Amino acid sequence: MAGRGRGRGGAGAGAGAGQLKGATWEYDASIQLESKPADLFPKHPNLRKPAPITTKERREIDNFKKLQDQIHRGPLYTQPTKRDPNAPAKTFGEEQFNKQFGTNSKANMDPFHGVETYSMRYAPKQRTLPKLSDQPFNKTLFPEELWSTLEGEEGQEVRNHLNRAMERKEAMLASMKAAENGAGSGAGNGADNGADKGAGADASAKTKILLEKIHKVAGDEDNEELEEEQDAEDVDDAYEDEDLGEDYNAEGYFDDGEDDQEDEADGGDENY
Amino acid sequence: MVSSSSAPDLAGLATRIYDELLPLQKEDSYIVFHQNDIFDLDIIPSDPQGNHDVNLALRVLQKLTDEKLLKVVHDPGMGWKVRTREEALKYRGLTTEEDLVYSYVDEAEDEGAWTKNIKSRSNLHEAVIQAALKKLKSRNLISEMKSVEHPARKMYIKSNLSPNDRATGGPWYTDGELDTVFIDTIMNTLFDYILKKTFYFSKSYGGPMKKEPKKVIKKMSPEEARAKRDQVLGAEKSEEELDEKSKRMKYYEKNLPMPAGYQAYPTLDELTVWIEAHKFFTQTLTASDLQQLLDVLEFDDKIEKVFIASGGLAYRALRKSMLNEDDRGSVLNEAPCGRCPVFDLCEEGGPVGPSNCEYFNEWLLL
Amino acid sequence: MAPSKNAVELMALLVDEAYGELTSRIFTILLRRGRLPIRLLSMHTLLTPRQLRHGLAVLIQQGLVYHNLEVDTGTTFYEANDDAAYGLARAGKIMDVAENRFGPAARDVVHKLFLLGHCSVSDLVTAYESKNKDHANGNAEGSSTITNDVNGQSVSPVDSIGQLHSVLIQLLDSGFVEPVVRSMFHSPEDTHSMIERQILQESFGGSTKGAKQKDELKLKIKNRMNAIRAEREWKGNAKKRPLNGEHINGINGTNKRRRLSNGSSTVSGDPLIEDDGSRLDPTLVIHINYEKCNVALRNEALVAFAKERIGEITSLIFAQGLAILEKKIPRCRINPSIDKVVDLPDGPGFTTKELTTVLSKAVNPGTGIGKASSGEVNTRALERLESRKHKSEEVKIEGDVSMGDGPDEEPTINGHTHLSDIEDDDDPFEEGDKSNPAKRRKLVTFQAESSGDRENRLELVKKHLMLLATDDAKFLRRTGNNGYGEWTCDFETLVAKMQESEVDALLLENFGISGHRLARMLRRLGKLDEKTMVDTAKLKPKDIRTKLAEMQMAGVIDIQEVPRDSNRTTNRTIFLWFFDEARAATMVTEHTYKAMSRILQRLDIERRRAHDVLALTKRSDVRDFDPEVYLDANQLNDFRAIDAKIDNLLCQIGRLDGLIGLFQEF
Repeated sequence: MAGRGRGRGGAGAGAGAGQLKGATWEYDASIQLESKPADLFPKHPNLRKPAPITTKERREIDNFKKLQDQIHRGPLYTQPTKRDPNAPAKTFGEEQFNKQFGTNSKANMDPFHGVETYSMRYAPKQRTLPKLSDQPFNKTLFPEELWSTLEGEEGQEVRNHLNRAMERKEAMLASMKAAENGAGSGAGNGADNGADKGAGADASAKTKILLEKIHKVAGDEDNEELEEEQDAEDVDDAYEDEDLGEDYNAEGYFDDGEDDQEDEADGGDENY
Repeated sequence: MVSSSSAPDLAGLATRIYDELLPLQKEDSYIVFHQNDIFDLDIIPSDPQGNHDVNLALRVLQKLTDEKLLKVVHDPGMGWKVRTREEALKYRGLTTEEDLVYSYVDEAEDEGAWTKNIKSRSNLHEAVIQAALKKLKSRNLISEMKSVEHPARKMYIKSNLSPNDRATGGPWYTDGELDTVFIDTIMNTLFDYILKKTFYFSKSYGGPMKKEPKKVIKKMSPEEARAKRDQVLGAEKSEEELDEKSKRMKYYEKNLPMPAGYQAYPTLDELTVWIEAHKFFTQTLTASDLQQLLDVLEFDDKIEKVFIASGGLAYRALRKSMLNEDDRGSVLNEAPCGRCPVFDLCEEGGPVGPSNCEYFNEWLLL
Repeated sequence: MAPSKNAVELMALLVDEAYGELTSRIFTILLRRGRLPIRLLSMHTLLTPRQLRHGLAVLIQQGLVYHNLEVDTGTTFYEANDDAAYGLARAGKIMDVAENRFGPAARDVVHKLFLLGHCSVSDLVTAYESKNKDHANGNAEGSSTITNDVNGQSVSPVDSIGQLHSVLIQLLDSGFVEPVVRSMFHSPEDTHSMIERQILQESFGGSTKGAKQKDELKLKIKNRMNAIRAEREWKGNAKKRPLNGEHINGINGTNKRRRLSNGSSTVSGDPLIEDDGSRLDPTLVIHINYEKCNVALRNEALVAFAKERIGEITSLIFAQGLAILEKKIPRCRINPSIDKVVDLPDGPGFTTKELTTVLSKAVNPGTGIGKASSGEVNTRALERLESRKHKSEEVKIEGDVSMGDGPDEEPTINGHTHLSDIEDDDDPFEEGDKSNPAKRRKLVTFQAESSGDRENRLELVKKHLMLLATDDAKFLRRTGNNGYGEWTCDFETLVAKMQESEVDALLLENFGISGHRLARMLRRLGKLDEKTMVDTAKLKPKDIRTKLAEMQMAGVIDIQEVPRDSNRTTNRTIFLWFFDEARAATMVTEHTYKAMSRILQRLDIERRRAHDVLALTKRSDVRDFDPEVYLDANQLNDFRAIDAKIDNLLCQIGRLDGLIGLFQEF
């Protein structure tokens, strides 16, 4: 009896359980044990309506949802990079686990819907790396090897490059007073936008066109300059303005996967 | 030993003894008479020294036995039981073998005799026994019986007896089958009585608060208010049901527990008397019969034992036993996963998983 | 104990729900593979070291990953903290716990702590300051500052930095929030081996010889671990401004304090916390203490259990008793490698008097218990029985149950239970037994004024406590007679009883009345053969066989073969059935983990299916507004449908979490 152990887990009605160790009775063909689903989804024994949500549970759920919403808006959340957006829910089986993630979402971009459109400008920004600069850290509580990451020293050179690019952009922008101006600071301006929604529509349309041009310029240049830099795209994500940039990235860094690869410990098989 | 003047009147003595013993036997069917009992009747004459005439006694008893009016039993040592005259008649005209077989069935009384036992004890040939049994059956002296304890055995019992509790299984068996309908009826009757005696129904109980605190209304934040409205708007269908349930729960909450140390919970004796007095059932149910069912009710988690001051045990109902099944189900079974028939297979990416789960489809629309 | 496959899956999903893909990928591999350095993590996750460093920073910040530098090799290892990961599922409940105890401001602070992970007091202050400034400017919030507002209009429940400090002190005093020290970032195993190494060096010259030294080492390690834990405990060293000497520990007493003029958002009836002038050290780093939160959640579960078994009023009084105990209980389960197992006969306790003093006036102890005539109640016998039982179990009773010592001795013992003050007019029992002097005295007390009322209330409360103590689940145990009775709660047995009750509910539903009956019979009577079961359970043999087979297949019960002789043939073997409580509990836990995972996955699917409408509400320009305002009718319907689904699924998560708590943590 002990041989069955606890490890069996689950309802335990696994395949091997068919033999009953101690059959104290004669075989009775009329006894039917529920087994062998004929259909994929045999009739469920009791689908019932759950008890209504109590006021306490209502508070707890609201707390939870509100917290989750805040976390997702906050700097630490990273969006999914699922290669196939229509794939079923997440798998955590040992084998398939890593395969389900794209190493670079841009490389798998849908050319029709993936490009940022005007109407998408209010969509929450997609982030694949947490934006650590927006969160206070007590460095001493972290292992030393992470300190540079926390301080944003990492890729300092990259930043220098970007800064130069930004300077150029800013020079062009300097003449304009656009709503999106503050973007580079890292503080999102959702509510700003909300406030300006009506009045600023015209202005932002113009700005948009202009900015696109700017990005083209900056992007192309950066692309050349940063070719040997690692993880340039990610740096961009971390330091670049959040409301702009999907198209910019797409054009600029579709070769990014290779960059990543240099950083892989085992070279990785990226091209599954 | 003093010799008597005349030859003893064997027949007369036999009749007198038989007439004395028969009423005693009728009074107590289990009684067995021994040699001393016969002498105590003072029918067999004794000498002046008080010595019984054993020899004469044996002759008289032998005569009665021959006439089948007495039956020899071993109880321990030799003893006799008395048969009625009609009974004795049945024995007459039996062959020795049939007599022997019949006496085994007779001796087994209400437990019934197993053919295998008859065979081993009588040392008769199987065919002889079968023939004898057939004859006895045809003369309606014995009949077949079923024992609950040993359903596979071929058993016989005297026709004028009914099998005892061990063979029939007691009051809970009808025709050798457990009568679950009967059992459930009695259990429910017992339970209802205990339930009524366990709780105090308070018409006026309205909840913990003396008055509705205003906080409840004020406290609701805009989101909560909205959530509440959503709930009402989004799930109109559920409202009625919800109401019914809350009504049910309200009623349930009005059943208050009795204070600690309460002595008036029903005891086994009280329950037994009550069942008997109300003649709910044609059968007489003893305290130990009912005890068995009370045990089952305890296993069913519907009642529990309480110690009372008199040192005895009483029973009270458990509060949750008032709830119907829907209200006391496990949390785990609320979601479809609880009793999902294919849960072991369920894995995202497999043939059955959360994304294609039909149970969830249905459940989310409930 | 390493988490099971189902637990790993669930935790990965929880981390994913909260912090997104990058972190959950790292966390999953750490859970699966144990402690790893970045180099190996990179190999297993196919993530770049740079991505890993970012992800790990987040995970450490949120307390989800331990780290430890191995000095010899100079390598830093990372290890998953599964308790913290599971805690994510409880966030909603923990915020509610904070709100119940200390009001909306506390909930808001806890909310922020969940967002920030561990943080210093000054960081928290900054977070609030920047938000309040936004308000002052009529500006909606910036993206990275953390906000709690709806419509950008309602005012934060925390309306001054001073109040923030006071709230934090409350949370620290109560233990729901604790100071963070470096040693917490090492996993328990790492801490243990580190201490072991140290002590070996210090006291044993590198290694131990013999069993005696080994025991000594163990004891020393335990002492040191205990000391380390004690060190980080909050000692209440807040600095107070002069001229404000008011004590800071009052929880309910705070109501009396003057309200700040701008404290308009606080709601009457809620406990209020206002600035009392105390200030915390701004460099103090704090985080949420899950261990303590579990104590509060356990209390809630126990109260619900008492309500189910006894009744609502009694459960509310029980809740108050547990609230008193809560302050004295830092964690649910004793950790044998840290805690000294002391043979204390009784855990922390409270007296009837203490409880009655703090019991909310809204709770009327005069109701909730049925009325009985005095002749029908005998509490003396009850107490005799109680003490007899204790003596037979050789449990030493402190304070002794014998009557008549101490000034607080209750005035009547026998027959005082007539509840003439119950606000209930349908008394079916005639008033009897006027000759009982004790009772007459009681009746007089009812008419007396305030002091009598108080005494009366004490008596009424005591009746409820006695109900709790005499219930089969043993919610309370009486330890003495001071203060109208002293009580303690034996959590371990009580929780075991609750687990049993939960398993029973499942058995009843899954295997019907007969399966439930058989399993409970086996639990009570031990191993049984089939024939005994037929006799005892009053079920047909054939039904029993089918049911036993069904339950065996499900793994709930099992069979043992006892050969009667050396020929191990079937007909010379006795087959005994038995019920394994521990295994049933494990099965419930595993099933629950898996069900929670499936629900979370389904939640993800539902969200994706409703992506169009949900994306609208997440737009940065409208996300702070009520969807009712900007969605058109169709969109609104869609939104409500998906929102209701999400709520239903989350509600299930919360309820299932109750099971996990019950079987894993309480």
